[in-house]
Amino acid sequence: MTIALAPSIGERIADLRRQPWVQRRLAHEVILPAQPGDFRPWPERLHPELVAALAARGLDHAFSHQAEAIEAALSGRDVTLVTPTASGKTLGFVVPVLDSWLRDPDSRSLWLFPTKALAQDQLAGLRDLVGELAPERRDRLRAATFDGDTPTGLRRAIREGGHIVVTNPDMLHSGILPHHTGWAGLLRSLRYIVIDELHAYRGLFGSHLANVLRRLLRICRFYGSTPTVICCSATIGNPGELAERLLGRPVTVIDRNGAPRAERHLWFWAPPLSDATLGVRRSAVLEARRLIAEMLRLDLQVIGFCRSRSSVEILLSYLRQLQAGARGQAASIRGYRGGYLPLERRAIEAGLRGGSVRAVIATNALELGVDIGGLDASVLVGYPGTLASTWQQLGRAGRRESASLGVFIASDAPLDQFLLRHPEYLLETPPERGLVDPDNLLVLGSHLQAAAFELSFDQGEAFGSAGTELTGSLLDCFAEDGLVHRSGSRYHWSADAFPAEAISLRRAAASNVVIIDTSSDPAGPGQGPQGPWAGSGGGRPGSHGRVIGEVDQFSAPVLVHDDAIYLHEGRQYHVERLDWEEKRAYVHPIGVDHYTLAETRQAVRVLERFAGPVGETVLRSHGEVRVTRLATVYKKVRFLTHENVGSGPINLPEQDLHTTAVWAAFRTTTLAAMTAAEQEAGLMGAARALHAAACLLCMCDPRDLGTHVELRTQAGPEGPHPAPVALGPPAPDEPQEFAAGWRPAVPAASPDPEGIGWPAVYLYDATPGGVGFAQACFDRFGEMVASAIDLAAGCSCATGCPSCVGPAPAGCDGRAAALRLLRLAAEPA
Amino acid sequence: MSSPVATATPVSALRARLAAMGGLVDLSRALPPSRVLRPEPPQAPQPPAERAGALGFVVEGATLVRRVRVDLGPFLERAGADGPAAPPDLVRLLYRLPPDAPAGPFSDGDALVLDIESLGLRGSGVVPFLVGLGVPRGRFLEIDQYLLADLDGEGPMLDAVAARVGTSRVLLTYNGRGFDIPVLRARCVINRRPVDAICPSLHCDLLGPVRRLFRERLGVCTLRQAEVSLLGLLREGDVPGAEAPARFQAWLDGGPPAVLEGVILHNQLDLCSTVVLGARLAAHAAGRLVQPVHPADRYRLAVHLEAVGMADAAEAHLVCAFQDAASPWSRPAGHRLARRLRRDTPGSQTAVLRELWRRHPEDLTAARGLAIALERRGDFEAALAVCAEAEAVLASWAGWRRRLAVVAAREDGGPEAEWRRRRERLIRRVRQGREAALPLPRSG
Repeated sequence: MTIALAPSIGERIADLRRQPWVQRRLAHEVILPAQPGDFRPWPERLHPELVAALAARGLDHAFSHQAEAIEAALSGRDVTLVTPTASGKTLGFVVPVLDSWLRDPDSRSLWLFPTKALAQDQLAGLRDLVGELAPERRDRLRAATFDGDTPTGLRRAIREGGHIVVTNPDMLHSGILPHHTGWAGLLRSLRYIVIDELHAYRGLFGSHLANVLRRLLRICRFYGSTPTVICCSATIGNPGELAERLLGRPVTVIDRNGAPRAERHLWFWAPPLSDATLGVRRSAVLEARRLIAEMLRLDLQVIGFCRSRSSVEILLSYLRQLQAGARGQAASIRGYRGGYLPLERRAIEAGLRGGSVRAVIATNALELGVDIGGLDASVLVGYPGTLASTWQQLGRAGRRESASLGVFIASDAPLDQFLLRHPEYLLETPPERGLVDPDNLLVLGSHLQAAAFELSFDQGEAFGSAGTELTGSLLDCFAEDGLVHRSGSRYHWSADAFPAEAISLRRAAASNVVIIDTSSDPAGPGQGPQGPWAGSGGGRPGSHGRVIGEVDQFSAPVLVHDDAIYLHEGRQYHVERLDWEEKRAYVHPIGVDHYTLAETRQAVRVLERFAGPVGETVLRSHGEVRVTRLATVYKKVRFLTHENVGSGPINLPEQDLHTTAVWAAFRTTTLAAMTAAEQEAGLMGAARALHAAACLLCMCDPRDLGTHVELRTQAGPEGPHPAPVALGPPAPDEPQEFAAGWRPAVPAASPDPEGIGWPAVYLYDATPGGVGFAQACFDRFGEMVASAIDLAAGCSCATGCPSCVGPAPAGCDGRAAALRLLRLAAEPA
Repeated sequence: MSSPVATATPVSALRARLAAMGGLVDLSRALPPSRVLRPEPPQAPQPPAERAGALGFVVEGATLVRRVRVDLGPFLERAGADGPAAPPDLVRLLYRLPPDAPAGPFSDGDALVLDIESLGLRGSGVVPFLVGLGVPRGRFLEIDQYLLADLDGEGPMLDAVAARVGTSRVLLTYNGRGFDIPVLRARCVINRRPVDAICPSLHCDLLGPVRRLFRERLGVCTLRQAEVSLLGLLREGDVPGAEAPARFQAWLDGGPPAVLEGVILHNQLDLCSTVVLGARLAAHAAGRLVQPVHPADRYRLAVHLEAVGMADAAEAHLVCAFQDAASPWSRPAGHRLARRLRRDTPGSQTAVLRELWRRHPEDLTAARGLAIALERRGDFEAALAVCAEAEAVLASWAGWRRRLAVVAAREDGGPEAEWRRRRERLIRRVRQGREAALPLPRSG
């Protein structure tokens, strides 16, 4: 009798690797060697009951990073723990929190998670460990989530007696801090603040959180507590800096991973060209379908990450169709994305841990620290947008004891193609940096109002690291507006308002356009007698409306103009009417074969230069600008064929965005050899490549940064504004004030030394006031330009394609022109 | 990454920058134009205490107090009450007392009525700028109003209020449980006073009883609505409470006394009407119903009296409410009455249920109660008849019940199965009864 052993995971991966069709597609293969674990004993000063409970769960030793983090937290040092997915970060904060509670049953802690689902998960993990404590101990620990779903009856009990209160930034901001007297018990005995998924607090959201934390720490000071902060983060470029900017105080960074790891294979997957002349590749989703089906055949448990909810559903249905006949496996393939119900999610997570679910197709909802155990393979359908996300998603595959496989399937997008050509970028570049600007004036101002409401300000008191003078000036400003009253040396809130309510942690400016679906049921969110949109009546008489989203005022004319097709969660909506006065767009779902694309005219005006100009032939600067945008017409574009099937005018006022930008102006003499068409194509291409590179650099969504190209710049604030005579005559119906931006200017007689009249490329923060992206681009300009050059130079197209600098106009080598400009910009400063 | 220009910026430049970025949300709620009474601030502003003097406030220690004595007689008369409710009546008629409540006897002057005017409605930052306290003595109300003329002086004002609340035996408020007391307590925390400084020994909040007794009548149970509908009082030229914050701000910023006068009067009226309302509610609970009587009044009063432990008084009102067959409240009154009668007078209970079912043939709850009562009395045949009728009613509903999937939703088979089980049991018992009644077969 022979006993057939099932092949190991490593052998199965090798099987897959040997298949000819797989070999044809592998652009690169990297094997990350196994790494042994670095084990340490639990810190000696831990409470013996806790050490016993840990041992009962089979945790006789700590990983080195856990031990270091626990030691630092016990010594009262703020700490940031930065290690990969599934390296046991949770124990880094659970252990100190439980230790302090075991020593002092009155001590309490506040845990912040970016999402509600995550909060529930972590609490379940905590209960497992607490379950090992002696019964009389474990029954006394009260740990609960406090969020929008917490029943009213429970809220009081949590407020008054919760030892561990798990919440999210929004709830802390509007449900806890403005009502702090009700939370006095917690705030007085607050020993630890835990901030998990620190890397999620980037950009505007992070800037808001920094201010929420300023408020929290200010209130803690009032109640006499000095909590230690423990942050956990996925791998990002600047975890310490991010934590310090968020907290406004120094932080100990622990980033050496002590968890063991088995060998990992990393494949860079190039879908074959389906049309070599046009450079069109086979769809990444179809490639994923074949690959995942093959993995399932080899009995590898796999997770597929898609970039959008709709592609999750598409890939899921493809796979289920394929597997329908095969041993009834269709049920073991699941989807996972925002919009699934919590119970459904829990079932999928349990199925993944238990092995009954063999494949899950997910959005980045599964990227955050939801516990699903380690899987055999992870397939990324397209670049997730940041290196940090890429590593998070790849990290979903990998167990401590057996080999694993990560596959990156490149799509047509510029960054995907760039990574395919430069795998070392993924492997060697430090991940992106999380950037925040807690002192963005709009963000700071609105939170200062909330802080003044919570506790009156002393004259000379600084709000976090915002500085005494700025705090004082803003308070004086509020006093003039009648929001605060200065009495003696104190500023008291004196307005009949609840300022926290006016602040959304996800936007900066006050006015957004609300998108209302007029076809939906009257009981939807935001409706009902108490809802904020009660009685809105939708767009049509007798119809009800459900709010499906918001769009900022600057983008509204482009996205939700009359007759636009607005895409939301993979569904198409037709905009019936945009009520500009009321800031409401009325839409209804529709299924058509086209989308709309608005054409805009944009002008950028420099208001103030913070830094620069730097450079000789290319002057680069950083400063404050006003971006003026006018949506003019829209086109209806058919899906797939991209035919233009109609158009219409957009009659909406132009919008101003006051923000920060980085710009590069090219000395006209250096461009003398280029024709005007080449210059224009080159500038457009360079802007596109720089935009992609900047998104890589700043770890931001492409929509967080805007670009602008000017063939002739205007004067900066220091120089004279261009005289109207320098411009061509205005068209009779053209609004005078916006003429400067797009009307071809008459060439200036002599170029201004400051760069006036030079062609320029602008990159601006798409958030009013900016959140620091432009600053980062200026500080690391060389790095950004080098990436952009790589991107443009490495493309295999002839004169420019959507994967590099964008399609060039006929008869013009856009890629060469863009490269020429980028190389000029790469000169050492 | 802060913008270099942001530091040491004059206020106007800062304002311009904020505006250019789209501006902060406008939180200021200016007075409506018709009510703007805000002149240019005087060149040399007077100290707050002097300005408060123009409004009748005098300095007392570190606080500013205004003392007035109001004759409540005309109000009480209009409302149909003899005099302010004596604390014992108020407490006995409107509340089920907690076990540790202070025992009587209460005397005249033991009650304290409280009402605040504040800057805002929600959150720990809501500042009470005017606290009105009143002690009813005879038909008079002795009012002390504390004004926060200087926002720095909140602590002493809270101390004065806490002392008064602490020494009173019964605190009377309208929505004080949900608003006034929590606001004062939150401010105590912020001003580093003990959180239980504001701790009434017995707190009678009238909002609860008003809601229980008059929800149909009033709809929204605001004090203003209660005044109009229950007391027959209509305020003329009253400053709406919502305007109070803006008026106080205007006064703080140097506005004339007139801007705040209306608010002070409004607070005074709130105190008066709370006392009158207390008296009227006590009278209502004692059986002198608010006129004209609303069809729901007797039923609601009975429910209230049951809740405060006055079951006998409740029963009389239930009987009245049940007898008024045309009223929509007669049916719930009948059910409640039947429940009350079950133990002491089962015969009356059966009569009430039978009458209920006669009036409302679709009321299977009444039928069920009747069947149970009859079965308990041993009248199985009558109970069986009820069963048959009830099942006929259910059968007539079968169509729409099935369509709405009401039947499928129940695991136990729903009411159909319950009635069937009851019928089978009753048939068995009728048969057993008949067999027991048969003469024994003769032997041999």
